[in-house]
Amino acid sequence: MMQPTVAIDVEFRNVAKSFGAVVAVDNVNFQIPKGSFFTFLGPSGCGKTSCLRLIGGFEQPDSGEILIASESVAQVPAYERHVNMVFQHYALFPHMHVAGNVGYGLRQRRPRMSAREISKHVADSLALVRLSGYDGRRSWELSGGQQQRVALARALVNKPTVLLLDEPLAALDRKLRKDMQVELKNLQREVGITFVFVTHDQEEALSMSDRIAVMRDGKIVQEGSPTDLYSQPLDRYVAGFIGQSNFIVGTVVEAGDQVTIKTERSVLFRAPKSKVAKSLLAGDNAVVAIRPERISLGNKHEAGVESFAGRVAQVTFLGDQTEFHVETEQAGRLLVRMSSGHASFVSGDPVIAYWKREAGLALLNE
Amino acid sequence: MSLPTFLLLAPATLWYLLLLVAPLVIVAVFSFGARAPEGGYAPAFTFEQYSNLPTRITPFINTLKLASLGTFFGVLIAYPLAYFLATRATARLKSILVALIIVPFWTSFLIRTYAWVTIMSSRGIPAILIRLGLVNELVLLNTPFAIVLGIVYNYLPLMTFPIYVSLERLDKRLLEASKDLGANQLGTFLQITLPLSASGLVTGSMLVFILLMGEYLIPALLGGGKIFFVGNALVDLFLQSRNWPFGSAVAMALNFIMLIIVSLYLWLTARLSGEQRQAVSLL
Ligand SMILES: Nc1ncnc2c1ncn2[C@@H]1O[C@H](COP(=O)(O)OP(=O)(O)O)[C@@H](O)[C@H]1O
Ligand SMILES: [Mg+2]
Repeated sequence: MMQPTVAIDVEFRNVAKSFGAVVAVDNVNFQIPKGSFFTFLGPSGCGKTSCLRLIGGFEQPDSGEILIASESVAQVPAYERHVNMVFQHYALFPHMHVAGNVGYGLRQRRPRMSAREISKHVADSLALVRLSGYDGRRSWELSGGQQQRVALARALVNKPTVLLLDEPLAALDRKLRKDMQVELKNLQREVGITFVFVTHDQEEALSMSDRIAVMRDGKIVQEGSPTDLYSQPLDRYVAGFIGQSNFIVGTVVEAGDQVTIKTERSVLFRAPKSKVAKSLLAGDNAVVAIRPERISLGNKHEAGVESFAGRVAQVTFLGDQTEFHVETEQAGRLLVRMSSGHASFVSGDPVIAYWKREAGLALLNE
Repeated sequence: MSLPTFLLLAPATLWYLLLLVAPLVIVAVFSFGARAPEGGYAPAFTFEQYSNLPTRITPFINTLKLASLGTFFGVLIAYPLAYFLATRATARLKSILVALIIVPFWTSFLIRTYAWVTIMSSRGIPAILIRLGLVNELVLLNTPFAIVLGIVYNYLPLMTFPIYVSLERLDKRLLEASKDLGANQLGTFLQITLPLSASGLVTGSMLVFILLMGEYLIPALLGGGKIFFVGNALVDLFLQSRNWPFGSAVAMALNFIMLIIVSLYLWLTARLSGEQRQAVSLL
């Protein structure tokens, strides 16, 4: 999975954590390489925050082992871990101005750091998040984006081994969120600190992460690079969660590198089998996942592709791209996304939806 | 002023004019007057009463001592209690404890205080402790200890609830943020919890201090009445020696001290909560 030469900053070994009857983290294993941008992605309640809080030391695991920089932290309280957190709602101290907040971690150091040194580090850290000159402001005088950057500066000033970020962009509006995604990624490269990021937004995860762990019900379903997860999802859940997918269900007629599938309407078509998922056997229930942008619309059946005839049910113009909902006899409703210049179909037009065979991915339908 | 506004404000305004402003004006006028030969008030304009105030300096000092000690021990006991209620107690335990704090106050003050007289008298706790052989002799009643106990007991809710409210309002995530940044339990308490509950602490202290300035019954009942407070002085001057003008001057002096304390309080709370809120870092 990972080259042994890469140092591991955070590792979970069979870590489990329950709150009463709720299993928040269910026997989780992962390794986060030093200096990487690692993201926990999953819907609300799947245990992302719990994983972060376990790393930060705000929760203790029921079982399993947590290692930070290759050392077990079972006996290390939160305030002694070389880990800092950017909290979901920033948790800035209201009775301190910006400089007081940012310098808080440094003021806890023993032996004490001189006031001059502290203010120098604080200024550097504020410059890093482009908030120079905001030292004397109060948290309530700042916009959401600025508060967020103060929270970042307050954590980064301590030069932690690992920085934990719990949905730090969730409270920002869309435009600002996009800007902050880029900024955060650049910042991570600049400081070289391991970032452990939590989000329920797959787009955010794909655009920023080196590695993503997709979570569901306290378990990591699949872990890999954004391109791995996008092109080789392990199951239908990941295929649907990371980007959008069309799913055509059917039964496996013939298994091999190419799988032949009979749809519910008894139409045969083929798709390559997944390289990472469980292999399929004849008779299995299968689902073929096809990305909307890999499907094209045309007027006639062509050779060498999979194609289904249908009728355009709905057209959504997205600017550079246009989305078509195509109702097909044999494969149900398909979502198709094409460059706006290439598509001039309107609602009600009869069309042929087609894709190259490699665009499909045959998975076991659980 | 619209009619509804007038109607809403009229009862309270009338009440305050009649029962607060008018008596205050009377006391102020009396304090510049002279004592009538048979007692009471004789119209005059003299500063004689005020120049006599130093003769009553001892009750003032005793009163300030009582108020300070009462407030100090009140904080000492109420803060941990409020802290426990706000941060540690389960919902169930919280309601039980709050009930335990409030329920005694459904009984009249005199009954409660006389109960303490009995408990601390020679046939009360001292008798039990002597019988158990824990002490050879013990006097509780008519000691400073009894006074402080009575005061803390009676003023505890007044001190506890403002502190409790400010601690309850405190965002618990700030405590986690503090620990995340390397502060231990004590550091977090001193740098986050205490400054952010200072407004409750100041409010509780002010309430108790002001009320203790007029307190004389508890020391009279539990302290044996050996110490003379401003309250005693006023009762004495108005009812015994019937020197109304001098009594009025003493009352005015007391009002003046309270005014200073309330101003101090307003200034402090403005600093704690207003735009100029400064970091009240105690480290
Ligand atoms: N302190 C807690 N007490 C009780 N249940 C909790 C606590 N923290 C988390 N949970 C539960 O654990 C599950 C996972 O929560 P969380 O890790 O916060 O999920 P996420 O961050 O992915 O939304 C949820 O069902 C949540 O209700
Ligand atoms: Mg969460």
